[in-house]
Amino acid sequence: MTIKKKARKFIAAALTLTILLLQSGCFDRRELDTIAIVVGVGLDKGSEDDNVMVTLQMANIGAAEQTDPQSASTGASSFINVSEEGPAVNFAVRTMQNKVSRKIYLAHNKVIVIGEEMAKRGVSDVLDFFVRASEARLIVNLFIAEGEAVDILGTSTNLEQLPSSEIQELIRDQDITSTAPNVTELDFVTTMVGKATEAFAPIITIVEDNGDKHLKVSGTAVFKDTKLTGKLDDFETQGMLHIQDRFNRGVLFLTVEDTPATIEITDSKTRLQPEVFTDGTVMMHIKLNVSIGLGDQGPGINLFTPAGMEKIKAAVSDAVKQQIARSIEKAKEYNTDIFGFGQSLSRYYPKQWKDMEDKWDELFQTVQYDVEIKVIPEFKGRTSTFINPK
Amino acid sequence: MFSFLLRKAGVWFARKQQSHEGSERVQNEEVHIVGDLNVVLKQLKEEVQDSNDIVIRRFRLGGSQGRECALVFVDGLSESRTVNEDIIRPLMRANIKLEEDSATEIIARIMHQHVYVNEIGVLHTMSEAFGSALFGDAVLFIDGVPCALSLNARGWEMRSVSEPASEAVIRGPRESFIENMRTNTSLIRRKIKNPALIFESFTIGRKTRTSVCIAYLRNVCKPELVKEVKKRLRAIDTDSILESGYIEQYIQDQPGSIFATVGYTEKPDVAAAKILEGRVAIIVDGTPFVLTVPFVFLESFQAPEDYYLKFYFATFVRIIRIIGYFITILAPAFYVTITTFHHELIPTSLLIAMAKAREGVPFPAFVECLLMIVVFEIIREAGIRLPRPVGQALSIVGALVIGESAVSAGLIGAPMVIVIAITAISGFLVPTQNDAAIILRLILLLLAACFGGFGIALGLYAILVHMSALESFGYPFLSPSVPFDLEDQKDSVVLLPNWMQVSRPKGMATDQQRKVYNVPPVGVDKSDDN
Repeated sequence: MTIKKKARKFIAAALTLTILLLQSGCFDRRELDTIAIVVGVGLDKGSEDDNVMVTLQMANIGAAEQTDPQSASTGASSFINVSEEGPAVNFAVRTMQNKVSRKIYLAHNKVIVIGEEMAKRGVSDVLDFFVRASEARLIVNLFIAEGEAVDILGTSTNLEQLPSSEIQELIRDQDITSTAPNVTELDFVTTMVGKATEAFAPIITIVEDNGDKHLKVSGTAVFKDTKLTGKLDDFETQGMLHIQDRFNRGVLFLTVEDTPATIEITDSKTRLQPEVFTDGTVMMHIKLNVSIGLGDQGPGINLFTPAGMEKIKAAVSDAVKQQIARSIEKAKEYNTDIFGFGQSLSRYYPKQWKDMEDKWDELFQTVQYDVEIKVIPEFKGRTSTFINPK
Repeated sequence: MFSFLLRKAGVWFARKQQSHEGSERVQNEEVHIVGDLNVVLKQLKEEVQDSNDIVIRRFRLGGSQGRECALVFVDGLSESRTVNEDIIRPLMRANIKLEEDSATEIIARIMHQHVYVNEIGVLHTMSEAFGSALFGDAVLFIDGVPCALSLNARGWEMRSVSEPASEAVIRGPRESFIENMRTNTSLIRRKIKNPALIFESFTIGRKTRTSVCIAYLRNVCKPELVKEVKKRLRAIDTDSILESGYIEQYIQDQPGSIFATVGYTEKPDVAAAKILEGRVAIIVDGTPFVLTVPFVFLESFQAPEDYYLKFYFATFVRIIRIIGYFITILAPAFYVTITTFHHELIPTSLLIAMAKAREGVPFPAFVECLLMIVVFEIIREAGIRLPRPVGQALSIVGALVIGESAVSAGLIGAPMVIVIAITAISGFLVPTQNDAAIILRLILLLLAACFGGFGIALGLYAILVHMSALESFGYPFLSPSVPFDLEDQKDSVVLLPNWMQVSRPKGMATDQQRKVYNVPPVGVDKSDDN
């Protein structure tokens, strides 16, 4: 009898435990067809000053289902943009849920585009949500739109299915041209909150091209604290990227002894070496190693010769110096240390930096620099002469 | 917990059995053979009734004047030619005088002079006589002699040695064990021509009286292991042993575990290799499947071919098998968990593609997955049971139904078909673990559907704990990984060439550890030339 009783108790306990376990399960279970996959976020200034207009781009699963070409022509877009205005980003996103039949899912977001007006007002409060929410990733690419972010996200795509993928691919291709910095949300926020650094982000614009609208990424938006203060063009951006040692590959158009030529920069390595003089002035020694190749050349002297090479080296050196000078000039004009000079100082001179830290804004204006460039020619090509009819 | 329940149930059943047994048990008292032939034959008739395959041939020794005798044998088990030519004929012509000779003299003369058979035994009890006759011997009762002679006349219909059905190889011996135990022992003996190879016989099963034989190498196999195997075999008390699977269930260390801790093989070369490593083989009459103990988990990933091929390739294939095993137990669970809990783990484009495929599917991913697993198991099971020509038609229908139509009908998503297909195919990489894998797959799937990745981790952890606790005849089931032994890794996931496998697995054999005696010379040895 006792065995029977024991067995009954045991079975009861086992059942209770199993049911308990099963009850707790599945609470955050979400089937794939119940989520709205957000792939892009646009943040614009709302109609009222403190408001923010949030635009979420979601993959249109239902429409994209017909992948065969015949039904694709029915015109169902592969994405849906939904906008909602609210006093705060999180509030707006939650309110937007009323308009979206599926649960808004942020983990697959690829880009955050911030409208120009919004950026000028300051971005720290709108980015707070994306830093705080554990669902959203920090490695999304961040862009400053020339104009409204909602227009950027609404631009029809060329090669990719989703505008946000197109934007992401555009910034990835910057390692070939180096005319815009590749900045993730994490980079942006850390440089923004860092005392010795200032934030910057690539600029995205809509350009018209044979009547079609396209997206274009080039140039840098420069921030002072949380606010957009100015912009760098392609030329200055290259200078900035050289100083930051973020320059990967790019092209320069030069005229060497009346011979036009495209010079390809295949690699650039930079070392920043700060020096603090006894009177407190700061000198930045910028040392670059630039590898170059000859992309093409026009009529004139043959540049693919030892003599031509020397001339190109001198010209490239001059051009890069000019880029660097222009970018530092601009940064001083906006009074924002996007290069991380302060960070470099804090590493080399931690003690002196403590004194300089508070007045760095004024000191930055007085920073002197010299540039030392070593150009390494790596000429390759199928032909070594200009194809010139005799 | 499960094995605890099982043990409780076992105790309960045993108790129930005992209460039934009391009345049924018949005291089988030893009946000695008496000197009166008529009495003996009466006893015999009582026992076998009118069973028509038992033949009792009465005749007189040395012609019509001789003593009366009876030859008892089973039609079909004893060879007629042997019985006619080598037993009855010489006995009829024997010169045995009726009065002069005593019983012992008659026995001696028959044994030494008159029958031409290779095995002769003297039997004293009726049960011995029955046993002998039912094994195919011809039993000779002689009037006035209080014992019987068993004369080997065994010879029955059997399948010839053919290719193994369950363990196909491309390179390696093609022969397989058959249903006859003697043939099987001879197949092993032909591989190991060494007097140290010992075969010891048992008869198990009250009703079936099945011959079971253990094989081991003296001086290599640990005496304790042999003792343990014998102990467990002797402890089996049941009516019938029809296949080695019956034995397996009785001698397992943990009968409640889903993992088999007894290995089986159909190939004599595999059995021989295991015996040479210090294992014990158990050969059961009536089945081509020979058991080997101890059995460790990693043996499931070893194919006989591994040892005959280049070791690089063998290692590669073993790794593939291990990956396949993990795929077959984990793929459905993993798919369900990433589609219902961990969407952030998938690349965006894949997520969108998968979401597209799920669009319009009426069931949750878990139900969808379970459905597909069940459908696959139905098709697999039906394919095994059906006659071969029908089986093929079935597999085509099955492939069409689950592969094509179900997807286009919108019942299931296309990725699920891929997942289940790869799960099913991977399962066949490790056939000996397939039965356990199906159960594990379902448990992990359930856990994944309830708790996501956490559930899978929990499940794997529990399985690992269980496996680490398992033993096979005192040998750790996960060895040589747990407990880890560097030297024994030579034949685990990686396989080193044969000449580098200097020692037998640790703890398996006695101190006679060496099994390789030289390393192959590199290049041509020029020292012999002069």
